[in-house]
Amino acid sequence: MKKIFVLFSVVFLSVSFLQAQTVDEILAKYFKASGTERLAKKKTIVMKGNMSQMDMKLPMVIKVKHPNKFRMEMEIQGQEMVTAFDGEHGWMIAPWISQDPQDLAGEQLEQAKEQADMEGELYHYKDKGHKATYMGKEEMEGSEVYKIKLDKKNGDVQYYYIDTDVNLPVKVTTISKQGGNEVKVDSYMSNYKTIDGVTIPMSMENKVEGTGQTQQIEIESILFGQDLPDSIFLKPVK
Amino acid sequence: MKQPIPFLVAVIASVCSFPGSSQEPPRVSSYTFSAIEARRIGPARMSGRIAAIDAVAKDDRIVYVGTASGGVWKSLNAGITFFPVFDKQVMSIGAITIDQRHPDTIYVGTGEPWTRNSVSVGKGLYRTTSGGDDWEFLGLEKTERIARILIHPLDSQILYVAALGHLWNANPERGVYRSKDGGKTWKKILYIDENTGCSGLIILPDQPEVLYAGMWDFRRQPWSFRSGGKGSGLYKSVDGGDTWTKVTGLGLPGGTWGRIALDVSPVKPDRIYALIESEKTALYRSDDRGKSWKMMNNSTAVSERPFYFSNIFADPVDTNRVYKPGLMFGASKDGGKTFDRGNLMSMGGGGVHSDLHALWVSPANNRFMYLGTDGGVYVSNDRGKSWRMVHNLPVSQFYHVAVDNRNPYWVYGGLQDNGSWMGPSQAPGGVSNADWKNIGGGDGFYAFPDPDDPDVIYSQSQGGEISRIYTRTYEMKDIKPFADEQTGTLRFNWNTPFLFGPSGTLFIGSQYLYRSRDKGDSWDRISPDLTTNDPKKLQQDKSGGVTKDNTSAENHCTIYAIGESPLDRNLIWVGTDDGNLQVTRDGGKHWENVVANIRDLPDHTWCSSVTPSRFGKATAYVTFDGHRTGDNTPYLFVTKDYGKTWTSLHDEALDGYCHKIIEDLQEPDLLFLGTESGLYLSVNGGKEWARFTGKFPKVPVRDMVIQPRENDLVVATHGRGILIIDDITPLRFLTPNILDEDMAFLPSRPYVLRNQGYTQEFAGNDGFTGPNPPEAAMLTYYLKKRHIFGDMHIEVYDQNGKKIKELPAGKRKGINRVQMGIRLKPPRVPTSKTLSFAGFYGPLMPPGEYRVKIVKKDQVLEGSFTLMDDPELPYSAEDRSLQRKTLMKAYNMLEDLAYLDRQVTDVIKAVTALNKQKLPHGLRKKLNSLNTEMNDIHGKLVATKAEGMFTSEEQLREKIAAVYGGVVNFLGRPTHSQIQRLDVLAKEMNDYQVRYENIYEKQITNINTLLKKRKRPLIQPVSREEFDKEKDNT
Repeated sequence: MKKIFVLFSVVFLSVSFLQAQTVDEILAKYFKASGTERLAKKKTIVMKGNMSQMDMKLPMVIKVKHPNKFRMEMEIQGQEMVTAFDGEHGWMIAPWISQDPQDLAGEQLEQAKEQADMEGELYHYKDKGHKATYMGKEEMEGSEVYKIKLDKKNGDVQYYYIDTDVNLPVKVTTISKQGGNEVKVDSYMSNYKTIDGVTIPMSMENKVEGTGQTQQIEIESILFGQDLPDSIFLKPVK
Repeated sequence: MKQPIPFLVAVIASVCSFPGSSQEPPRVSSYTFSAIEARRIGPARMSGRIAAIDAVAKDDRIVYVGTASGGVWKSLNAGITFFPVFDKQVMSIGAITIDQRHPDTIYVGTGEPWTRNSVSVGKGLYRTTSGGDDWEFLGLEKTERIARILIHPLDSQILYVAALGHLWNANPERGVYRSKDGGKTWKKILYIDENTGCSGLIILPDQPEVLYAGMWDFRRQPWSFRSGGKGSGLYKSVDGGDTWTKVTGLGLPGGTWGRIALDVSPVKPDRIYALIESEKTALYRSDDRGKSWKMMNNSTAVSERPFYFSNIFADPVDTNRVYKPGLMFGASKDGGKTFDRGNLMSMGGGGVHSDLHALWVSPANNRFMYLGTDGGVYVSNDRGKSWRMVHNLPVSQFYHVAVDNRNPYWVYGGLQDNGSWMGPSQAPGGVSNADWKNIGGGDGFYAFPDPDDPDVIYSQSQGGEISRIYTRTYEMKDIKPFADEQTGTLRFNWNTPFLFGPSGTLFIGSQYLYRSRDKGDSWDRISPDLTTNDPKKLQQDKSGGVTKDNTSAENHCTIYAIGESPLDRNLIWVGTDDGNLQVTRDGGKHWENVVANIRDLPDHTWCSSVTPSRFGKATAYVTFDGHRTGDNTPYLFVTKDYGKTWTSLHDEALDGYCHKIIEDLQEPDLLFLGTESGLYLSVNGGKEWARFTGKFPKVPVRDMVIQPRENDLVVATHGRGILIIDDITPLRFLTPNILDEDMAFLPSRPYVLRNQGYTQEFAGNDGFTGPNPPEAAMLTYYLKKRHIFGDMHIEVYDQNGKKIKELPAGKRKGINRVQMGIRLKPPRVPTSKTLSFAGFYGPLMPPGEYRVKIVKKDQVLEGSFTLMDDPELPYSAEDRSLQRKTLMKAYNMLEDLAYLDRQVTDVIKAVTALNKQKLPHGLRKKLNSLNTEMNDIHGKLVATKAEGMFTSEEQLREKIAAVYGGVVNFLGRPTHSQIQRLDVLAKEMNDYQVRYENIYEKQITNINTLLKKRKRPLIQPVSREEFDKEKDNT
């Protein structure tokens, strides 16, 4: 292959093969491959699955409502832990700490906000106040990927690694700068499945840099269009 | 990329035929095994050598530290925690300059400028505009070392770089460079000759067309060092660097100059300092912008080792303060006339490591300082009188590494500037600074345990000073051999080879090989002078150049590498620093120099390692390192006929001069190579090499060893401490056949079941703790392609064929390592407002062989792994069996209790729901009575009154869980008390079960009959079967 490329590079130049990719071109391919436009039209999404870390496996339900409401329920020893964002405020209830809801702040709040964004931070990134830069192609773990850097409005930085073959992200690195130290988390996506025209990763592996800790998230089922009342996202009154 | 190429390629391919276009066999590349990751265990306690520091003037908590060969580290909290930001670039750092007007823009010039014999190499200039997230390369690649970077005070597009140039050979890429377009293009604006670089550079902040440059003529050779020459001198430009004139006279010294350091007072730029190495090294000061100079001080405070401590720092606030970090910290309050060096008796005045190379004083508060030394970074808030050490920079520079066979095993090694240390490969809570123990001072090299006596260790300091150490008392016995009439003076290399051979014989090499059979109490000389004994290279007493500097770092014509064959104690290989490679087959009676048989190796190339093979007597591997004469070629060879003929193992993939090559313990084709730019491995006997990248930066690798019991590869890096690659067993199975498969399972070592010990400590954030290996069995397998679509997961089956676990699979191309937790599912526990520890902690899986199925869509890959009991633990099979039995009893009791409580709460829920409906009075009364009874039972099964975490209410759940917790945490025999307690609690639980069943039979059945008549929902607590199914589904 290499030999051919060198011999005919002149021909290819004129075919504008070597035209640099722009970030929006690559994102367009990704949105197409993942069906993000269709996802944007879904009013709600309910995901059921579990989160595991080593031997601990916790059932989990995630409910998202357009445009920016999110609620996650996790069952721990029969008790339900709830984390939610109602469009303005983030809150959580960990019953073994207290029955009263606690407000989310800092990194946790940013994470909840991000979860509420169904289509992801790259979709309409400019409107969200982020800046996206195409960093070029890289070889990542033996596959070719587009590397896109997202400078988020809140100061955090993300790197998206989009497989050039299938135009889906296989890895996202998030550098959170909310605390006194930079915290780097690598997330790996796989087990992509197409449901209702939307291609979603059913398996995610999150690794926190420097700790060796790995967290797995497996989604078992996804339902679109279920009726989710606003009240379930609101912080409960004491 | 769906572009025209594939189509055109197909057309062309059909028209022409290309020879050799058949598919190449898959080649092992870095990505094949990048999932295998190194684990860093430090140490950070003594840290390592620091070359440069810069911090943000507007917020002095943000600081960047450039290390000698461990990369750039950044802190956001004034040094409480650091993280590396330059790991993908270059490890050896020369200069760091922050653009203070845009502090996210930082320039890093690579290549250490403190040119001791062990320095690494740089590769040019880099810049970030994102505070270190991403970097761009700006050029100047061949400069090898950059001493300073300046940014024009008014125009950030104008940059100046002081490049030292090559240390070991002449090259033109040195001097002063300037860019006027933000680093896109460069012009060399001041160049003297190919031996002279720029060591000092300043620009006047209020008159930026004026610059001063200190030019340094220097060269290091394997046997000597010269600082100074005709090229050295002070130069001045008044037109921004377009033209330069040499500055002589005006009060400056005459004669030949060496290295020059410059600084200008930021608050009063009339005042310029020049620390000039000359026959009488001194600090000079000008108060008129360099028109005239005055000699301020020529005491040892400023004149020690001028090539190494060439630094002078003007305070950014007080124009009379100037600092001279040298051997120790020196502070002047009178513009350099006198220097206060603290307590001279305590070397390192103020408690800091000696040998200081970097200083930063905060312009916002000149009491606050960062200091970089050969032993780490320190922070002061009283102008350098006292210091706090930074404890979390694991940038130690190891020369060699050894391991013992304890369980867990310990690691031993010596460090440049920081003595010798030993530390555990894992420890409860991780490997912390406190776990590392010092076993020698000075500069450390070889350090290793006695093969027979666990209380004896050996270590050395530079130039052959070897000791035997008794760890009970830390008494050190000097065991070095002495010269005699026949030998003449013994010459020992800076890094003297000192080691046990596989036979238990102790060796040390001067220019002669010495052997001891009594652990060093007496020595036999078993060779003639094996070096070239070239008198031209034996003049170290003259070494130094303008300033004499002879610390045994330049000792030459010495033995550097020794290897005794594991297959024959009389077969010994010796490599020398002046390029001889000698072998004896009769225990030293006869020696043959075989280096001339190696083609493609220049004469007198330093032999860096010799490794006789354990698989064939006639086979040996050698590495040579020519960087000390400017030859950076990786040289590595193998012989299979005792050195008569040699094959080069060089591969284009290799980068960096070679330090060490070792064989695997079991697989003859598996080799590991350490070079100045990292770790490489080969699975085909050295024909092809691939870099090891899993959490392994491009740090120099000086030595490595495989621990035989654990099969860990333990690597001595020169700049990032010890890196351990846990369990290299899977690498032994990477054959070309395997690489061609879609999926292949790779064996791992058996996993030893043990509890991780418990420690309690709240030490703040500022220490360094290296992680332990995960408490998991590693399932290792190979995938030809990354898995992106569809389901892929792993199933684990026990010896009875029962599926006991399902977990997510690793999906990457190449080797995958999936951590499988070695505990069974935790017991279910009754739900309450508090969490129970028992509910998170399952019993360890029993030992034995387990089968694994990796399911990828419709493909299934089978494999197995083994769990074994820890043979080191003194528990009999009986003890362990009783522990498991007792634990499972408590486990099942919790599950039964959970079910009982579930039934009870199901009833309560049903009653609550029913009470919302309209019901006849009698029925409602029955329901309320039932509800009261159920709540009463519930309140005895589990703590219910607790709110939040602070509770000590104990009901049945808490009582059983307490015993469960006690038994699960100890793998030996449970106590009688624990066993009896379970019996008591079992009876109590049984009483409640009976009570519940009675209520069910008498009351609930009756109520249900009534409900059925009224067509209301019945009270139907979940069945045990369904309850168990719920657990299986998670």
